[in-house]
Amino acid sequence: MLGRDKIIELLKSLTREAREYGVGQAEALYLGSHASTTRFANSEIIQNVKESNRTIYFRVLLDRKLGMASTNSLHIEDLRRCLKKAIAIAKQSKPLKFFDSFPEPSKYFDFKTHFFETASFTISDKIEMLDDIFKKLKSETKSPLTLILSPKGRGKGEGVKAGGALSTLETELALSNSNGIMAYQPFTSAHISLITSAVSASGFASQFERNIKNINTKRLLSIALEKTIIKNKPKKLKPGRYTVILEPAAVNEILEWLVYIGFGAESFIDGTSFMAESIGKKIMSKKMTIYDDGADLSGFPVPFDFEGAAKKRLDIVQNGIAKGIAFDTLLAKKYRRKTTGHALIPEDVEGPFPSNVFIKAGGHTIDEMAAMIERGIMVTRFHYVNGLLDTKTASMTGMTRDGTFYIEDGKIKYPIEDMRFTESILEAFSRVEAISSQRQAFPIPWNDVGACIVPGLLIKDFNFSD
Amino acid sequence: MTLSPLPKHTFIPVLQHTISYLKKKGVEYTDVRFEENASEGVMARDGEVDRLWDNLDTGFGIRVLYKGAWGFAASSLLTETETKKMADAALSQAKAIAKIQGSRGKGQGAIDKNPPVRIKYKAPYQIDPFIIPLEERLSPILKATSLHLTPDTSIRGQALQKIHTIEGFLDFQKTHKTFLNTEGSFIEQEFYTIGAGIKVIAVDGNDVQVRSFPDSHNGIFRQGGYERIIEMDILKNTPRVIDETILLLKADECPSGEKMVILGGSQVALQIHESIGHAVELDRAMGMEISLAGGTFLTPDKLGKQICSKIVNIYADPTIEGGAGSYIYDDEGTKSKRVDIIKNGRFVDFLTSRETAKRLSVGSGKWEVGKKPAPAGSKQGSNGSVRANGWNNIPIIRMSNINIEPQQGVLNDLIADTKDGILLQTNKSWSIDTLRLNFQFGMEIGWEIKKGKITRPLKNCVYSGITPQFWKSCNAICGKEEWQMYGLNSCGKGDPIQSISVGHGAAPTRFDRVKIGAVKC
Repeated sequence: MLGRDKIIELLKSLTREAREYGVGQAEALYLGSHASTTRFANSEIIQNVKESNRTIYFRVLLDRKLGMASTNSLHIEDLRRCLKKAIAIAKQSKPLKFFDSFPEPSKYFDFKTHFFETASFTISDKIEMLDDIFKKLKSETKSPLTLILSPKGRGKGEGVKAGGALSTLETELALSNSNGIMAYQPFTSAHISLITSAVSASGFASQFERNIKNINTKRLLSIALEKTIIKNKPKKLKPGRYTVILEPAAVNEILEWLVYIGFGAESFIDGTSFMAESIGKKIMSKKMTIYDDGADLSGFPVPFDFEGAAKKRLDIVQNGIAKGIAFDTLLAKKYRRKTTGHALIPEDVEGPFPSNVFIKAGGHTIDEMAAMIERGIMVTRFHYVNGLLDTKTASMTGMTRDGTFYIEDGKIKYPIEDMRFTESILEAFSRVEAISSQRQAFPIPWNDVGACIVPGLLIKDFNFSD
Repeated sequence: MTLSPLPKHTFIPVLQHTISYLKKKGVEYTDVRFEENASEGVMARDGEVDRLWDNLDTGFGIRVLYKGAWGFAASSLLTETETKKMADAALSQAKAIAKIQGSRGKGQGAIDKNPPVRIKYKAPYQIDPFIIPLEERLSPILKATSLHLTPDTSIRGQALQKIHTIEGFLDFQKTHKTFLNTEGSFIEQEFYTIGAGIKVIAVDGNDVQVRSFPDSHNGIFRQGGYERIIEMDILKNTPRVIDETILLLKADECPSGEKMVILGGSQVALQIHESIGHAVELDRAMGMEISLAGGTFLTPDKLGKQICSKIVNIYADPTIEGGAGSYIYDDEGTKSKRVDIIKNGRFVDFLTSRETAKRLSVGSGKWEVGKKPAPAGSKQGSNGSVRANGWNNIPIIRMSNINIEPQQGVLNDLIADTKDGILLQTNKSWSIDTLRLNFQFGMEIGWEIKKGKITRPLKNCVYSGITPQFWKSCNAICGKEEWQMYGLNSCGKGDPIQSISVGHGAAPTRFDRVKIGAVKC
C-alpha cells in the first residue's frame, strides 16, 4: 500500500502539471492492487499467484475535447508521456457538444472498507486454511483418496476431492481532479469458491467477505459435501417447465447478465436493453426489487465511483416496475441526465454499470421454499450463462452444475443430471413466488470493489430446454 | 513524487541477476517474463468517437519451481528491490506448498528440460498502426458507423430509420515480451495485434436485430499492421450489413426441428473454439481448471477414439503468420509447432504444457493413466501451448491457432448441394457445459435453403447439440478459397481469469440432423 498521502500528492502534482500544459480540466485516477490467489484441485494446491499493480488513468478536457490515456509505469517519463498522450488525443478529437466538466467535489460517506486481517493474510495462512479443508474432507468422507481420471473428468473411486480457489485482494482507489476532488479509499476482499467432487456428483459453496476472518470453511465444506455425498446416481429428467429454487449462486449468474445487458446506460442508449422504453412499466413480479446502493453497509460499501462522484442509492426495479439506469457523467450529460455515480475506469467501453447491486430479501428460508414445491428442481448454480440470445426479453441460456436435485412433496428426493435452461428472465422473474430471507455476497466481474448481494428465488414454470 | 523505477534498458540485467539469485537458492527451475504492452482502443457510435483510450502496461512475472511445487509473483514496479521482493515471494510460495504437499516430482523432475535458446523475433507487419495520424486511423470506422445518417427520402432511406445505432470498434496492440529462464534461454518476441468490426443495431418495437461485420464480439483480431484494417474493407461491406439488419426485422422466425445446417466460417471458428479447442486442454483433463472453467469429456482414455467424422482434421498451429494466437516460443520457452489434434476424425493429442505433458507421459503420482498409451506428442514433452495474458498472469495451457483443414468447393457449391437446410452466419450467443459436451449457439442470421437455393432470411436462430454427435455429422467442409483466419481477443480461462487472443482458421462447414429453433422461452 502506498497510502493516502503519497498517492494524493502524486495525483495532485500530475493534474497540476496537466493544467500547466494548458488543458481546461484534468483528472488523474489511481488504482493500485495487491492480489493473491491460491488454486486447488484434487485436494492439492496447484497454483499460487501474487500480483502487484498500480495504474494511473488520465482524462483531460481541452475546449470540450476529451482525451484519455493510462499507464501502469510510475516512471516519471512514462507518466508525462501518458499525460501528453491524453492531451494529444484531446487535441485531435472533435469537441463534445454536451460534455463540459468532470464531476465537482461532493461529500462522501465514511466507511471502513479495509481490514488488516485480509491484507496481511499470507500464503502460509492460505495453505493452512486449505489444508484444513483437505484434512476435514478426508476424515468426513472416510475413504482412500485415490484418483483415476474418469470419463466425466471427476474423481472415480470412493473419495471426494476438493477444488476451487482462495483469493485475497487489497486495493487503493484514489482520484484527484482540477475541480478540487481529492478522494481516497482503501479496500480489501477475500473470496473462496469450493467444489467437492465425487464419482457422479459435485457440490459447491462460496463466500465473499471484506474481512477474511469471517470466512467459515467448516460451514462451506458442510454445504458442498451435503450436495456431493449422495446415495443414488443422478437421474436424467425430461426437459420442460419445472418449479425451481435457484440458490443465490444461480441467481447471481443471472443477475450479472441482467446488469450487463440491461442496467447500464450503454445498452439503454443503443436500444438493446430490456429497460429501454420500459421505465415506469411493470417488467417483473411485484415481489422483485433490485437496487444499487454503494452506501448500504449490508453490502460492500464504496463511497465514490471511478470519477469521484458520490455513491447513492439507485432504484433499478421497484416492486416489479422498471425505475432507473446507471449513468456516469459522460453519458449522463449526453442524454441530459445526472450521473448516478456509476462510472467505471475510463477505458471500460461497456459501462457504466451498477456495482453494488442488491435483490431485496424475502421472508423464507430455502427449506421453507422447498416445502412449497410439489414437484420441482433445486439448482445450486449455473455454468456459462449467456444473456445475448434476445436482450429485449432478457432471454438467457446456461447449464446447471455442482448440485441439481429433484424435489417432490417439499423434499429433495434425488440428484439429477445437469440440465440446460433457456428462458426469458423477465418472464421468469414475473413468476417469482418466494424469495429467501438470507442473501449472499458475490464479487462482480467489472470492478474489484463492489459486489452483488443476492437471495434465492422460487420460480414457477422455469424452462429447461434440450 | 514517483517511485523511481529503473529505465527499461537497465531492467533486463536486474532480471538476469534474479535468475542467478534464484538458482543459488536451489530452485529446480525459474522463468521470468518482462512485458511491455502498448494499446489503443476506440469505440465509435454513429460517426462519432464515443471512447478512445491509450494504454501502456509494463511489468514482470517470476515463476519458480521448487521441489515440484510452483510459485508465481508479478509486479508493475520496475525496481531492484521490488524484483527481489517478488522473487522471494514466488520462492516462498513454492516452498510453502512443497513443505505441506511433499515433492510431487521428486526423483524424476516435475518438468523435462528444454534446450537453451537465444533469439529475437518480430512478427511480420506492413504498416505500423501507431504512426498513422489519428484522423486517418479512425476514418474507416467513423465513416462506416455514419452511413445510416445520410438524409435519404427513398424507400431504403425510410427503412434506414429503423437503424437505431451503428457501433464500431478498433483495437491496436503492440506487445514486446522478454523471456529468461534458468536453462539459459533469452527470448524476445514482438507482435502487433489488430482488431476491428462494426455492429448494426435495428430496433422495431420490442424486436432488436443485430448484424456485425466482419464478425461479432468486436470483429476479427489478427497479428499484423494496419493493413489488416484495409483488408477488412469495412466501409464497402457496411451497406450490405445494414440491409441485412433491416431485412431481419421483417424476417420469419427460425423453424424448429432437425435440419442440415451450414455454418459460416466465423461460426465454425467459434464451434471449434468451444467444443474442440477448450476440450483438448490437458490441464482441464487433469481437473486443474475445475474451480472456474470446468473439465472436459476428452480424458486420456479417449485418445485414438473417433469423435468427429472422417473428413474432419483439426490442428493447433502457432507458427502460422498472422494468427491472433501466433508465436515462435510459448511462455515457458518451448518452441512452437504444428500439432494434430483431430486426425481423420480421431482425437490424437492434447494441448500440453511442460508439467502436464510430463505427468501424462510418465503417469506420475496420482495421475494413473499408465494403462493407456500416452499420445505421441506428449512423449516428446510439451507441444508449446502455454501462454499468459500479460506480465501479471501465470502461464497456463491456451489455444494458439486451432484450425480445421479445408476440403473442397466454395460456399455456393455447398448451398447448391443442400436440398433442405439452413445457412447460419455470425455468432450472437454461446453457451457450453463444464465438460464441453452440451452446447447452444444463437446466431445473428439464418438463410433457409430449399432445393439448393436460398429462399428467405430467418431470425432468432439457435442451434444446439452434443459435441461428438455433432462433429460426427459433419459431411462437408469448403475448400481453400473459403478458408480464412478468424480471431478473437477475449478467450477466458484460469483463475484469476485471463483473457487472451486466439486464432482459428476455418471455412463454411455442413452438418446433418442439427437441432435448430428460434429463441424459445
